[in-house]
Amino acid sequence: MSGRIKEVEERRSHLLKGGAPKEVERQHQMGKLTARERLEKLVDPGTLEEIDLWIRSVKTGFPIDETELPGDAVITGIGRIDGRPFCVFAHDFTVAGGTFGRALHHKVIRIMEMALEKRMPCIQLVDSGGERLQDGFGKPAWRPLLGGANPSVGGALNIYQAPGIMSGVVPQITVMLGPLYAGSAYSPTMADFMIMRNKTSFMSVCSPPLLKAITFTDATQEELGGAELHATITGTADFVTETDEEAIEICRELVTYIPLNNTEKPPVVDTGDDPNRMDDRLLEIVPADLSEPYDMHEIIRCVVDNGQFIELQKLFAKSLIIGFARLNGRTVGIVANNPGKENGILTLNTCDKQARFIRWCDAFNVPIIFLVDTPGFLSSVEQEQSMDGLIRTGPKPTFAICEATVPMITVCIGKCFGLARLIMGTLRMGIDVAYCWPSAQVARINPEEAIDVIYKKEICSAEEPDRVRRDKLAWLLENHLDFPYHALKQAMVNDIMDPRDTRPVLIKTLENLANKKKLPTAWKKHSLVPQ
Amino acid sequence: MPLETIEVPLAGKVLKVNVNRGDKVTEGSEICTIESMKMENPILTPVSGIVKEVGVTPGQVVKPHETIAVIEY
Repeated sequence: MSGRIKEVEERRSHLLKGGAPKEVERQHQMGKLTARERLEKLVDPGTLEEIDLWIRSVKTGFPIDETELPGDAVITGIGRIDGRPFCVFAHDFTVAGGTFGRALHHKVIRIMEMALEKRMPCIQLVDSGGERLQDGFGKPAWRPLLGGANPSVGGALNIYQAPGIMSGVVPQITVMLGPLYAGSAYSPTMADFMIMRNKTSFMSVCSPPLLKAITFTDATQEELGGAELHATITGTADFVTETDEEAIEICRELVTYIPLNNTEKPPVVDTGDDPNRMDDRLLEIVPADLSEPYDMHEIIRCVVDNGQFIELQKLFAKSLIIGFARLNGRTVGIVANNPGKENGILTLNTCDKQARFIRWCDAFNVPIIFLVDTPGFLSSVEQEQSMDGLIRTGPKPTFAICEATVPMITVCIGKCFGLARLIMGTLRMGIDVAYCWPSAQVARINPEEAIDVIYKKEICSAEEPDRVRRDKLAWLLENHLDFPYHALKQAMVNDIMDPRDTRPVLIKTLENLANKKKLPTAWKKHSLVPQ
Repeated sequence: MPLETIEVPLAGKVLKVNVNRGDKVTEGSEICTIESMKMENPILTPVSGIVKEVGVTPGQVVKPHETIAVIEY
């Protein structure tokens, strides 16, 4: 027996090495870690329980059959992060360029089904040349296990179908560390969160050679699908990092804020920050004149536990901030206008960014805090006429808030007029409690716009229209819109607070709302999210 | 006389050009063919008139909005 054990261990250690030594060396020369090195950094030391290391690749009838492909170019398994279980897989670029063979498909489906049935998040570390063409052409000799692995979760899943089925059941995270193109890139893009490494990871529908072949156009990988493009323009990437290690570290940090599945709440962490802490800095941040910019991040950092805030899509649609923080050790989603960037305006992109985040928080039991100070929509011909259509995209956050069932609290810090109220949430839309600071200006319409409408004739016919406008505005502000009390008297917000109290008040209110159960509404299969 | 500029609608390569400067063309006739997405895309003139300018030659790689031809009508 000991001889056989020795043989098993020799064979195992051979498979654990992955691709040929020169391929491993090449991977390191590119400044990249191997798949196994990455997974060892992602999960707690020694916790990776690998599945199907021993799998044999399918014979294709092409010369690639002569090459040994350990694990069929992917490592799959269950590992622990801070002691909690996660399904993980990593493409092994040192084995046939990390390409998808049939055995790889089988392994990835198995791990996705495992995530779905055992209710664990699924994390994928991507570095692959996409589908292995030889395998696609190969004889259909070996598919008995495909999809049949677990009928209870729908049977014949495939790697493109699974993310949709997992969506909203277990969190999914993609860490892009290498390339992936075309259909193959769909599966990772359907994940909830995306971390991309700069300069080594690329993701687009069309790869540069394919683009050249079909449209005769030259473009670089960077131009078509680099991390910078996806972080700043398309908004696909939540994080951009410079190294593999940094990307994996961010992934480890991100998952501390999220639950394992949609029936659980995120883990409660002892942050050591006093729930009754009042912060004097909160008196200094907002300028007396609300038209001056200030950085909303400062307010967030003063309020949340130890100032720790993990921001998503930080480089995309920067006039709105989204991300996770903790209040008294419990995860909250923060949605905040940022007057420090383009005055905190609402745009097509802020609407997409905000709606998806609200929907995520709702799916995974994370209460949402809205910090509000925005002049409203960016009024421009370009936005109205764009392909996304402002009037079509604008309602997305409104829709998401109305559907959400998690506790939601609003703090109006500065301006919020008219349509912006529907985007940042009103009590009638399902916000549970709305507070304001003494600096708040909340009304159903921007007072200056109201004057122009109500007194149009007087202003147009006056000799000094500006003076009439100024006088009427002063009168309106004094008699009807006495900020901040107007919104309180109209019950648009529930109470006004000393800014220094923000943290203790939010923590107390969240405790009160902890058992929120929304009244049932009419039965439906699913809603039709605004396009 | 007004001028109609026919632009390249999608990136590709010019396969053939059917008109020369000075030719008379009728609405709907094929000005040139552009190969793109492994397909041959006929480019038609939306107006009848005289070709004042031809901006492409066979084999040329073109990008969207480049001028294929200008028709006076």
